[in-house]
Amino acid sequence: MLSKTPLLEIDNLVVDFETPGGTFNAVRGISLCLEQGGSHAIIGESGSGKSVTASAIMSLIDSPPGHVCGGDIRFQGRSILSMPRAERRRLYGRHIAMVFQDPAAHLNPVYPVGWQIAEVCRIHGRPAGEAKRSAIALMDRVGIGDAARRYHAFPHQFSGGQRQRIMIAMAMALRPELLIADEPTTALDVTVQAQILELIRELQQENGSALLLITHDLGVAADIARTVSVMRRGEFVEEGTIADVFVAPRHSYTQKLLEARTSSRPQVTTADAEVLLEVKDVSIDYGSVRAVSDVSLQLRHNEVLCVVGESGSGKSTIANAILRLREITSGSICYRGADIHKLGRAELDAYHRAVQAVFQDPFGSLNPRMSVFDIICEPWSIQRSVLPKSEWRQRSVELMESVGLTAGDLGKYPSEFSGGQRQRIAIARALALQSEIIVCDEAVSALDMTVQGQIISLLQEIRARMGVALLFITHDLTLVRNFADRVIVMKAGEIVEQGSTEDVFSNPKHGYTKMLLAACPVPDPVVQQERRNAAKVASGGNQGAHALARGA
Amino acid sequence: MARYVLRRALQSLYAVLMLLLIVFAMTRLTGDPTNQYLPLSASPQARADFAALHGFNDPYYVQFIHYVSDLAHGDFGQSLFKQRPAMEVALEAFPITLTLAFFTMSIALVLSIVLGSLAAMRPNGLFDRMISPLTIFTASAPTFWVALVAIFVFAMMLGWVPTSGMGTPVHWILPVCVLVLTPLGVLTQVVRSSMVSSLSAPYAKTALAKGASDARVVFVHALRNSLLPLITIAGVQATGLVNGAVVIETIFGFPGIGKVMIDSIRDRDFSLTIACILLAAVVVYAMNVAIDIMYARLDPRVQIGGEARR
Amino acid sequence: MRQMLGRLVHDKAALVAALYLLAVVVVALVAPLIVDASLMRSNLRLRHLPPLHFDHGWWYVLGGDALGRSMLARLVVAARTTLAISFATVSLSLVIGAAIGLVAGLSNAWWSTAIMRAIDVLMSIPSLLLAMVVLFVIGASPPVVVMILTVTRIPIFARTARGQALEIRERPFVSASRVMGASSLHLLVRHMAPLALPTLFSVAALEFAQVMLAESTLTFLGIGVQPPDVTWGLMVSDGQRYLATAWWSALWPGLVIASIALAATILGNWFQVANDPVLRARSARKSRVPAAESKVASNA
Repeated sequence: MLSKTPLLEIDNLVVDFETPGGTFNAVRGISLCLEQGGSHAIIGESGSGKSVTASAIMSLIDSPPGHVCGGDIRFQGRSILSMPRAERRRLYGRHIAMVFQDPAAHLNPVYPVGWQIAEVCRIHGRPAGEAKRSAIALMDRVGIGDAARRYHAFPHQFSGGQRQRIMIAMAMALRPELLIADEPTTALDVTVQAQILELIRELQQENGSALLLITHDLGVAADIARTVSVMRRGEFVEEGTIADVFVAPRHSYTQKLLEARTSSRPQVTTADAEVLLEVKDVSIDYGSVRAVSDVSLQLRHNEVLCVVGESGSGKSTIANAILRLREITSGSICYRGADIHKLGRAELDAYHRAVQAVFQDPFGSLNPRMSVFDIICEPWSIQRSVLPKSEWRQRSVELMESVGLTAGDLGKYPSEFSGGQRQRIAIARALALQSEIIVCDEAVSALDMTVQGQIISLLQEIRARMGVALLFITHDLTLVRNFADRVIVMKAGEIVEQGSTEDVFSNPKHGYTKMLLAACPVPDPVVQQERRNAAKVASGGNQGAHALARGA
Repeated sequence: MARYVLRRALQSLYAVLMLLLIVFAMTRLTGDPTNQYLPLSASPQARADFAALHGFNDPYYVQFIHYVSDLAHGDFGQSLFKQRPAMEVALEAFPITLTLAFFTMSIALVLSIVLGSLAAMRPNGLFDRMISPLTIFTASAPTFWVALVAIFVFAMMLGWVPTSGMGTPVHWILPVCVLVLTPLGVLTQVVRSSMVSSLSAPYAKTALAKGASDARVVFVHALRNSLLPLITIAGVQATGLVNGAVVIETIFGFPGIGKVMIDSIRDRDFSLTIACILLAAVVVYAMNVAIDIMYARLDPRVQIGGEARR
Repeated sequence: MRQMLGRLVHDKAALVAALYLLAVVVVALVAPLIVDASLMRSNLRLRHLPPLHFDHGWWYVLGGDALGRSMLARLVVAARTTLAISFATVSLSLVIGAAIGLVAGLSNAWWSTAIMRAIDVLMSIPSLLLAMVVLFVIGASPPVVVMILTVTRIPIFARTARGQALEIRERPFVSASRVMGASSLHLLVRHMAPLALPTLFSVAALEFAQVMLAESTLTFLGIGVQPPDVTWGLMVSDGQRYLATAWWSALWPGLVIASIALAATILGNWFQVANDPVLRARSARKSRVPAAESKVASNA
């Protein structure tokens, strides 16, 4: 065994990017060895260099500005980097294949999907007829029903999960020895994510391929990989088998990653607090489609209420209705007993002062042409009566400090901040009017895991200190567990389950909640293995899997 | 598909009606319409007869309905100067302009795809640095001036081609070459910039990861996507070609519709002007419908029967 | 602003274009002070004086026209009319078009749709044809030319502004502003206009070139500006007759039109790129982004 050459060797790889601000060392001398049929995960947050590593293997680094300036990558003992281009091309698609994040962008929008799958075979010398037949067979294998007809369909006619299945079919078409999967499930719902991971695992076993998985999600890594490297700022800080690393992390960064979501929740009793907001039998239509039907919920003073659901569940629609960004079709929303759609001018202003929002996209949440000071002061410039202009400066300094930023940051512009810092600014703005309710619509979803943890702690602290109620909309169940007082689970526009966090997590009643909980990978390989098996049994073997595939 | 074409055609019809309304309003609301239709030297008696004959004393909306229905029946009135039906004169001149436009657009499309793709393969490379400034120049130089300079250099100084008139194929060389410059410049810029973005698009990376050659990525994956903006802008340029044709035909003495139009304006031959304008407008709208159909065929995301995605 | 100037200095072509335009505008503004009336009077002794000789003073360096007037002096005087028409047209259509587009983009009311439909129709009418009809009926003079060109240019600004408004109003900071109870006026003034203006300005620079070409073309065809007003287009038209004997009388004014259109286009393109971080990065082929954005780029 020792004499055998490993499938993939990365030897002290260094990748630099030239930026106007100087050289950015994206990858700083990492080494990796992957055996035939092995599965390895590189875990890291954004900017860690994990995707750059994958691009380097595939020769996909944009050059300039990026270039590999040291080390080597060997595939089956042959150096990819010093290979002639023509020879490299013969390798890609046939022996090394890649599945990307965001299949919607990575499929060519103007060609039929079947053609795109068959293209791999044709590039590598298969005759057209055979290529088409194998493309149809592959589509069938990855769970696209009615493959012969769907061969001619275009990418936009598929759902996100199906597009990723097509990408996988394309990658596995020639049974490559190595499959590189770069964040293959990041934009997908958890239930779909579980199916895609299962599909990758199956195909990997069928074809004996090795897998190199790039991910930020510890749960996904635990689900599918056997060995793992934790990457941070271009370097591997910890390597080992997944069991060793996850159960007994040695490096402080790995420990921080694993702890990011396990912060404890302060016990606050809000069950008998005053009801601030009451949503009664609200339905909302988009044209002829009913996005939300007969939803009722209550938000109490100083409570954290989480609404959990996958895409299309209507959770953001209901948030927008509460924020008066969207009209409701029927039902009512009452703030302190008064219907918010029947308020007078002054009462409406009061409602706008009472309810604020923090949105998902940290890059879109702040006007790029306004200074942070102007952003923080915008609420006071709209609600003139709240604060006299002479006090704006002092109050904005206080707000900045309360979210962990400094007075010196007030003169800067949003582009000078990281995603997490921008969300802090957005939170400071939401606090400016001393609101009672803050609606957080996927407020941490776009952030790195360690940053998510920091923002969640900040929100908890603010809640305790300022007595606000939080309506927290998210797709991420694991986030909710240690944060929410009560949880509402939504599916296809309806509430399927609600209750205290303890009850929903330890004793879920609705099948969908159970499925959500089961689909959500946890960063513990042993537990994840058990859960996977349990989920298979629960979904009734193949039949259930096919039912899920149709939904994906 | 048929419904889509019909809908687009109806929209164009609506636009033609708007144009008519503007024309009508212009002629009726800015004074005595006989001033527009009759030569300035017409006697008061002739004006009164003309007004009575054409119902200029009726209410405006009645006049407008009569006007449109006359046009719909193909009655564009008499050309005062040529003493023949105006539409006949216009239709006679039409094929020349159409031929000119056809050659120009074909050459511009083919050349712009080739030049734009080559420039996009190496942005800021030598070829790109040569081509890009040139395209901006040809797109911003006034056609009438380029035509004069070209006549001076190639016809007068070098004597390679005749200065004006038509008859032999040689007569077409200079007009087509001059007319092609503006659309060529604009379209090459469009192809270049959309190719640059297509080549850095994620699907281009997918193709590379499949082991596709550079040529395949450029000509199969990127080009097809870049054709979409090209077609849209080509439509705008085709409309602009009407303007260019007027200039070129005037300078080179081509008896096309542009020359007829300008002459009719100089001669105050209003019926003929309107006939020419409407004919040109119909062609422009027909071209736009054709482009929409082409767009829909090239971009599967456009739903036939729905709005074209621009 | 300082940042933009800094970027301008780095782009040689755009810098030259900007300086050239500035010089021409200054010359046009001070024209009455520097052009002596005698230069504009006909002087048959200097008829078709060939250019590039200094025998008759530097005003005749570009030669004389058919009436023996100084070509250079006439170019300077014509600069006033030509630039004034283009500038007035672009400013008017920018203001009107942007107002229509931003309001239409902000409002969902039926009338905003109706306005945009009308704009679409206006846009689909070939501008030269529309200009011909109007100029035929009303008669040509600089104000009429400005009016008709403005009408044909409004759709471009209205569409651009509406497109911008539709895009900006979906951004989360606008939603956040609405949640605070912001009025439409507040959204328009604080968010829409500041973000839409750079794009509109770059369109304006590109349109400046187009308007000047359109005016020259109309005038060249004899249906635009009429003597005694003089524009560069009119000078080319005059010179056309003497192409065989005095090529310079058509060459110079055309060259000036071409060079100014070129400069405005270069500046417009540059402005567009300089204002768009994505385009900027692409055109420089470097990711000139601070850490926060390069993270996103590397993860994408």
